[in-house]
Amino acid sequence: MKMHELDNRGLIGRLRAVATLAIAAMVLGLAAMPAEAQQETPKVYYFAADGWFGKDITFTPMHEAMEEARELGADYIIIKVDVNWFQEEDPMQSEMPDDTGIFDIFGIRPIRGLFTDEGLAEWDDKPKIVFWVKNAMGSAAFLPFLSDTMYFHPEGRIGGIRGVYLRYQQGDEVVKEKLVAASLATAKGMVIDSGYEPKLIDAMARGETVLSYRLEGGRPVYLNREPESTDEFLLTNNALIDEQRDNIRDLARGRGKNFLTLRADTAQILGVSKGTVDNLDDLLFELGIIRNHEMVGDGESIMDNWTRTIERTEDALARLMREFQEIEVDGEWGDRRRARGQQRAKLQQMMGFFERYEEALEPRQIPGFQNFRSPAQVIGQFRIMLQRLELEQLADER
Amino acid sequence: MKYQLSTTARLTRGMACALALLACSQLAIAKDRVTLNDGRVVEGEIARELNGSVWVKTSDGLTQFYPASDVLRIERDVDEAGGNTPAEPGVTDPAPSEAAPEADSKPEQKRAVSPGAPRAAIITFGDADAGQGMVGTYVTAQSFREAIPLLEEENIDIVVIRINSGGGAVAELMPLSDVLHNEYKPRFRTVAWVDYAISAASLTPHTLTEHYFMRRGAYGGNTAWFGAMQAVEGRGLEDVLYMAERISERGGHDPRIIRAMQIMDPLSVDLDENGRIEAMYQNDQGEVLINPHNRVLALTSVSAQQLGFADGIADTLDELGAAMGLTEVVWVGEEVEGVSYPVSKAESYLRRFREQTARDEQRLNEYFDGYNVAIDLAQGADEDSKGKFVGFARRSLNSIVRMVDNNPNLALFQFGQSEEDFRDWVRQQEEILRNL
Repeated sequence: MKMHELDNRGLIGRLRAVATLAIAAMVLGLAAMPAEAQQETPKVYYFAADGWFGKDITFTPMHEAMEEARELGADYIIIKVDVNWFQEEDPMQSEMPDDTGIFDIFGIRPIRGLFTDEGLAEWDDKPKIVFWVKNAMGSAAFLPFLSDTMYFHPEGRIGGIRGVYLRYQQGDEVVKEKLVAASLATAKGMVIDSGYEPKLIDAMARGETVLSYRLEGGRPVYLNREPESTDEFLLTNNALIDEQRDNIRDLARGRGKNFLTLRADTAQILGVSKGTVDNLDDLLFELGIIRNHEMVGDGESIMDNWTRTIERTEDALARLMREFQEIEVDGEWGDRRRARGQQRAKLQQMMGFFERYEEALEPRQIPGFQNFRSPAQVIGQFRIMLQRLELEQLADER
Repeated sequence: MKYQLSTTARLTRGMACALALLACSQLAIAKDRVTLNDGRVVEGEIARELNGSVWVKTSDGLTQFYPASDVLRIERDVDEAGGNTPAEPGVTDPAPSEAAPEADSKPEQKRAVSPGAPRAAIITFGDADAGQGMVGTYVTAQSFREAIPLLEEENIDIVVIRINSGGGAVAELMPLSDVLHNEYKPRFRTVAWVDYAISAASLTPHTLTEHYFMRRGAYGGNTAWFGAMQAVEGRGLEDVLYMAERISERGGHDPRIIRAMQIMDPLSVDLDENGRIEAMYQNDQGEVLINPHNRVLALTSVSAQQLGFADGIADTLDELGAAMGLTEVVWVGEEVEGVSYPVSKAESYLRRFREQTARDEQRLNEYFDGYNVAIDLAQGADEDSKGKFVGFARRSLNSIVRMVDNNPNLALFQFGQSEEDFRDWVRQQEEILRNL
């Protein structure tokens, strides 16, 4: 009995001990889990900045996405950067080499404001902004530099800004240089603001920049000269020296050394990239929130809707212009008055579209508007046309 | 004992009278003396002192401002001979705390070192992000001048000019520099806060002594050009180089810095063991190369610090106040949605001015076209219907006139004529309208 009791007690005791151990293990396990698991579930807002920079990727949709993220209380905002890197008119969409591309500082400046302290001033708790780089080429090269945290896709790259020279074909050298210097100082300012090395921008944009590095304590030390020892590595050499100028073989393979293109491996070595991930789950894992996060919002829809809206607007503009040109002002006074009224309505509709989507519309690419350089020019011209319609109507006798 | 006390009292009174007479005679001939870090000595009357910065009224009647960062020593009531030690130990610290107003006996000086915190206002030098950054069109000497009474109305001590402009017209450089130098600096501690300051937008604020950079700040690229990106050359270039030298002098900056921003002249420096500039060269022989050959200089916040040009780095108002050495400061203005700093009356005026200019600039062609077409129609119309076209033309002309009333520079930059010539043209048009 005693034994039995003991046995029983022993069984109960063992069960209790097991239960206690299990609870202890759970407690210990909890303690061993990352801090994030014990905290409130972090909210993650994701969207891709893909397509054409300056058309699909502009201030308005990115602002809307950031606003939605704020309203939903996002703790992390992950933005995948993957811009088109082929000539827009190329039906084959053949990828351009790294050493081409136009860099326009005015494209990135409005977007920049979304990610600065001032831009995030409305947030109660500022989110962690994470850029995930696939194709950040041309003007989009500066998007990832707007945050101190970026990860690369295995095929990721940042570059394609040598075109800062190509943008200014005409004019005296000193004037071109002034514009280049001003653009690069502005670009470097963005890079400095996020804690990156501005010399990388010179290496990307100026062919004569010689840049090497060595690692000290895991951190890069940048050197504006060729490597002088085996622990120093060349990033770019001087394109003005004939024997160092990239040959077509290297350029075709993306191995040129005159203009820096940051790829995943180099970016990570230099500490620019915090890691290389090929899908969103891996990125969440790297961020330490894979087991405990909540995806919120629909940034993808905002960006896609914008793209569709711009496409529809371009179609509508082409149609409206066609309809406007087809209106004939003739017949009786009442017919003429009505016709002018229809013309006025078409002009006002078109002006409304250009005013609303000015940042993304390129008149030269819209049938009927090829002679206009900018939306502002269209709007100005249409205002004059509206006024003339008013005067014509005044002058038209019954 | 009573006698002794009485005697002592009389003696004390006598001494006091003698000291008072002495003080009176000293007041008649006394000067204040400010020794600057670069060795220069300025004598005159300290009209105002604020956190170590001083306004000195000199014998020629001009009042000049010296920021705390330039001031090595302040001496009060130094006699005419100049070499004597002041009666009081009047050597003050360049940055005295407000709690310790020094040996300061003049009532107006006590007011100058006020017990309250200094009042600061931010005014903007353009808004490039809104397409309103052009110097000459959106940033004008006149609008900056008209902002002064509004700053005074709010008892502003410190004006922070936040720069966000990609440049503009050479013709506006000296008028703007004159306003900053002759009208702002004597009244306010006036500092530049550099965000985006390119070309004319850096050359003009070079008039100022203090420059605080945002981390993203860019400053320079001042090459003058015209037409299809043709560089100004010959005499025209020399004129612009000389103008920049004068502006540099006003700001107390080495002219070699601005020269490297205008033409492709190199710039390098030697540093001492503390990282301070020891020597500057208009070549690449210095230890630290700031601008190589064949480049035009545009500074970042990093290179501006290397060059000793940036007085501090600040992204926020708190950081700016700290960088400026302000222990406390009142940023004057109202909260406005979408604006990250308080909007003072002066800033509000400048914003309205730019908005109106933008509207007018967009509609300029419309105003002119309306005017010309209406005149043509009026001239061809019979007497009965002429009136409606004359009325239309008059409304268009009034819009043109209002545009130049708001911004007289538009006469020059949009119509290519002086304001006087523009007013003459308007009178002629009014005559034409009357005759119609």
